[in-house]
Amino acid sequence: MKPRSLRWRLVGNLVLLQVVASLLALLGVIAIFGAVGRFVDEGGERTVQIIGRSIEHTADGKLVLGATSEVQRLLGAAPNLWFVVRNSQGYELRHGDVPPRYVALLRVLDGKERSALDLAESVGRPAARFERIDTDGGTVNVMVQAGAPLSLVDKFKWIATAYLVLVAHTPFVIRRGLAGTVATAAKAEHIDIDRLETRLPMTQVAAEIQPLVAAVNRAFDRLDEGYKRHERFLADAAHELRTPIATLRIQIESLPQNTRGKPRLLRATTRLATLAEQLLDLQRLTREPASIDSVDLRLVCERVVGDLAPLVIMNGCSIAVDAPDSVRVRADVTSIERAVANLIQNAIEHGGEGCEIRVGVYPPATIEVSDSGPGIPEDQRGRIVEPFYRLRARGAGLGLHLVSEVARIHQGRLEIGSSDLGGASMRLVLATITS
Amino acid sequence: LKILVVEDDSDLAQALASALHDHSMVVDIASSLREAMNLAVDADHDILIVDRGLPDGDGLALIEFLRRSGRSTPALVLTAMGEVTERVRSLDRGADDYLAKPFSIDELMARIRALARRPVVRAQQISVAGRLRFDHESRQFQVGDKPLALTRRELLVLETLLLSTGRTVFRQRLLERIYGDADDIRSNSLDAHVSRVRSKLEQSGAGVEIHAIRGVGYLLKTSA
Repeated sequence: MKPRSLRWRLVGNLVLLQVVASLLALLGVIAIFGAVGRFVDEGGERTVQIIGRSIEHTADGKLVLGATSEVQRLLGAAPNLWFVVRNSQGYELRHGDVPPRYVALLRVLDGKERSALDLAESVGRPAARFERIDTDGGTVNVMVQAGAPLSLVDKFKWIATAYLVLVAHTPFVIRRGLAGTVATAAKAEHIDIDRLETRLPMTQVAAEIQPLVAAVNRAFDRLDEGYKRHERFLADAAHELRTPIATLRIQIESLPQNTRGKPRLLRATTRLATLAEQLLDLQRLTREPASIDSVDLRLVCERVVGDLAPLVIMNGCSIAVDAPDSVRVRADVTSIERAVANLIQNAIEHGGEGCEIRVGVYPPATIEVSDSGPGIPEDQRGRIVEPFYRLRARGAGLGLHLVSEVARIHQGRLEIGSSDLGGASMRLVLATITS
Repeated sequence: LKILVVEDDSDLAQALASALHDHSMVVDIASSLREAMNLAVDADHDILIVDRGLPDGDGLALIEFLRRSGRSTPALVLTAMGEVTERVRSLDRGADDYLAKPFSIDELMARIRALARRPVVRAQQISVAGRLRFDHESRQFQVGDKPLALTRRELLVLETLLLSTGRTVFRQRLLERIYGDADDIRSNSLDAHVSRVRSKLEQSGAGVEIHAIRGVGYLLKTSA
């Protein structure tokens, strides 16, 4: 099930709250205004505008009231409304029961722009409004009774506009509020088994979310500690294996030359020793940061081949280095050495008696170990780098897994294919930051 | 040759001792730093084989102690494979060579021979591999009782390979041995020398083989 978005939940709830609260407030206002009878055009400003817009001039200079919908609504809502309109020619249009003193006053006010009038001396609310209005047929003087009922649209359109602006901005406000949390989540994406020391920053999140982040960080601390303990244990275990393996090996070698099974015992000891080394190497790779330096891959390969040549020969194989040129790259020399050694050991293991092994170094940054053995079936090439994956009932052990880890920390890759020698080809392709 | 083995694991120490004994060497065993210091001061050993992790300290402390007291007894340190910095540290602190656990006896013997060759000790005047013997004094090779006829450069090739039996000798090192600093280093003539030595060894039934590691160097090994 897709989890519900906090942001849109907040937006939804807030908008709902705003709608309900505003409606309640609106209804309250309408009720109060209705109750005290002030839900009207108190100053008469709206009424003057409506009348002014509706005035039409006949051809002979008389004034008539157009039958616009707003006039009809106004007259329908206020049947007792009076007003009087007068143009510059002295024509007058009267509606309703116009008090005579206001008619007289209109003539007096001819030169004024606008005015609120109260001849009855009522408190707070003017009784009538006078205004000069420009129409198509010239300027007219309009006087209307104040206090006509207002439509809801007129009264509340500004409130409604403000309210819509508020609602429309709610998602953005919430997004800004959540931005720190999103940034923290992005940081969490960078936590990996190789970067266990990364912690989520506390500064970017709100106080309410900080306990969660702190708890997650503490959980990371505990996992980190447990992981390191686990790593140390593995490294110590592998380290402790070395001495008994060395003892075993010396004892077996000291057996008389014609002892039955001596070569097999030696091979088994060698595999045991290799496995212990691979375990240690893997721990080293994950524990220690790579120390990147300028490395000549040709030199590394020559050195490793020199080291391993006795083992190759003991297993009845032959080995050669094909490195036309120096190839300098930036890399961690120890892990490259171990990767090459493991590729060669793998070739010995799988190439079988009498196999040929070739270690090639090619620009920009490739080390290729090929052999003349039976090769690796295409459908197993992806899986052979898995730890302890077994090919043809012989354990590949950790060798190729180790090599692929070395490739990974160098932003490179391990390519498994077939070689022109007839067997497998393992290409360690490093990132091409040549130096 | 008298050898002091400093190793706290008694199984490994015993195995080493009996293997060295089989190669006609006299062996003392010390299982702690303190014991090793006492033994090393009293007796005159030709070679020290020192493990790093001892119950009362780092084996390198023994070597430093001896060097400070003016003893240059060659020391072979048993280290972990692949840990370059550890190797370098061992050599910096006075060790002469290192060997990664687990190691083969052939490898150990090759290192001991190499160390014993140093000017400080020349106890062993004759190096042997298979039926091949080399007398350092007379600079003569023999197969069994018969002398092996070699040119000067062939002899230098075989001597270099023999002294590193079971280990790879890099081309560059062979070239330096044969030609010294001379200008006429001809890399391809090395292969010709080696192939002549190889056929002479084969004809005389020396019981050793020279393996070529193309692009790297050569390796001499007793025939199985």
